[in-house]
Amino acid sequence: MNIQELGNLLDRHGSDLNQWPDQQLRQQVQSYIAESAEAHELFSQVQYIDRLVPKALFVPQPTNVEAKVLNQISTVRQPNYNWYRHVSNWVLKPILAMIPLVIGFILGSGPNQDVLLVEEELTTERFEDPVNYLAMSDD
Amino acid sequence: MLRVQKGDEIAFEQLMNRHTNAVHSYIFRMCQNVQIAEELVQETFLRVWAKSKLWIPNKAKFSTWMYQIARNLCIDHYKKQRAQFVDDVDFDRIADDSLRRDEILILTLQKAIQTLPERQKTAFVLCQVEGWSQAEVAELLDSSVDAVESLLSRARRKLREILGSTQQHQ
Repeated sequence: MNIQELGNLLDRHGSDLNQWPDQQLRQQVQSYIAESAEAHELFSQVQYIDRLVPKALFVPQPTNVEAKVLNQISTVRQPNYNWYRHVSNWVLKPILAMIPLVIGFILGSGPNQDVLLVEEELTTERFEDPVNYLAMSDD
Repeated sequence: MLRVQKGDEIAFEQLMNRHTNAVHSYIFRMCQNVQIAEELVQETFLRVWAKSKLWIPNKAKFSTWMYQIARNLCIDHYKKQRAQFVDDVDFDRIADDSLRRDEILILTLQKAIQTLPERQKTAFVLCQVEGWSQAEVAELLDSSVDAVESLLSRARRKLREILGSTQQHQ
């Protein structure tokens, strides 16, 4: 193990070795910390930060929040969402699912003007225009 | 909660008594502002009351659902008022005020935690401080345990780097 790996492990699992999921890994880390001064210093630093975190995130007591909420709930309606769920599940969702199909059907079944024009032109040239027809003949 | 869904105010009061402190801790730790935290806690419970019928018992734990509401409110607040980290803490001024080393580091740590991206901060606050399991946080974040572990890892590394540079500065 090296100092980089120890740093990664401490970032991943924190400095409380008892909480680490892998016991074997914990033992390796403990022996590395015992052997290496650098590792010991890093471990101490992470432990120190972990001890400071609860102080840095100290929470003051909320003042009377519950009473304030209870005063307001009489004015807040509890809408009945059952109808919304039914409409959503049985009407809106199937309609939304159908939209791409309908669009695809409309696009697919409509006449394609470009293809028709080309077909018309070829047909006219080959079989309906007598001048072109004569020009195509060997005589 | 089933009674709350039927509009039972006494049940709602009991539910608040049980959860207010925990929700307040989470929100305060996310926004670090007493007044805003109280407003967001109030708003969380008002939404719990108003939307109680949207909670489906078999789909999610009540606490997860409630924390999702709280978290969404924090995110909205976070977007409106992006937490600003004073990148260079005025160490000379702090030194003049003769604060102890711990106090400087606590101040720096507070500010550093505020700079974490929202998901990292949620994972860090709930796992490291509030004692949630990684699986519980994964459920709240709609993510995997591995992803939560990765969020925690990045959060701890960033805090370690910031604190390390502060210690060197001292």
